[in-house]
Amino acid sequence: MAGDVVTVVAPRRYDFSTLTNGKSMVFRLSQRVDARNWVGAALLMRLTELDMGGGNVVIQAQRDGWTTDDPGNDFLTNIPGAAFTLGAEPFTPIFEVIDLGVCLGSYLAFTATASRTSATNNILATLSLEVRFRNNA
Amino acid sequence: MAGKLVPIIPKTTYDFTNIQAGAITAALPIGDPVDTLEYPLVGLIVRVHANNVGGTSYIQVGLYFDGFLDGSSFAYPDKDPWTELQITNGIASPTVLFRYGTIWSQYATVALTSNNSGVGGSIAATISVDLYLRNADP
Repeated sequence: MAGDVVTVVAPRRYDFSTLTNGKSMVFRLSQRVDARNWVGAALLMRLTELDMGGGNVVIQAQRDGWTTDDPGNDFLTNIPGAAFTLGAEPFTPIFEVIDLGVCLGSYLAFTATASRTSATNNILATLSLEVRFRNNA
Repeated sequence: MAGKLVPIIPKTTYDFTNIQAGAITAALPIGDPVDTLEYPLVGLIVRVHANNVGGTSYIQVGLYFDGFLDGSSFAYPDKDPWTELQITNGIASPTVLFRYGTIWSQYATVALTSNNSGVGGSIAATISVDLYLRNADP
């Protein structure tokens, strides 16, 4: 098979509006997305609702090195360049494609880091994530 | 088949320390919507691996009816949880928390909320969550 699309996050609404001004929080969206059979991948993100008047949310892809040798620990590292900031888009719906590169490792994980930069307004988005795997660079 | 176990999230740390004092977060979904059509009897299993919830704050793991519509780009969770388990300062870890009952919708979803009571300290917990699904067939 030359490629595959895997749903990582079904359409979900993430509302971080109760975050304290000047603070951030990291929320794990998904982990252990199996990438072992593929060379490269891209993240497909659909945004259907966006209200970022109070700050922003960064969607970050990570290499997930979970292992049965040490199953109680997370082994995560950010994939360089594989981040997308929700905050400046003027309208929805939007479809974004973020290249995750090659040499993916064994698994992938995805986080949302919400940051409040204004004392008022919402920080929320409705989004879905898919990964488009491919077996070439 | 009389039952099955659906992993929702593996051992994961959630930290709500930075939410506003006195605030309760919106429900933040974890895992995928789970089809319970053939297994309407559902158990919510929450393992607390580590508990760092201070004061009278809490982290709540809620099971929600979910109107998930395949093909739709929107989310349709119930606004209130059908049942919930709270991780408070008094919950020792490791431990397991359990709730059980009948789901009326086709899909169910698990989501987290948190309350910051405003007395300071961290509001974090390391948890893993499963759903235990079964039906009444012999």
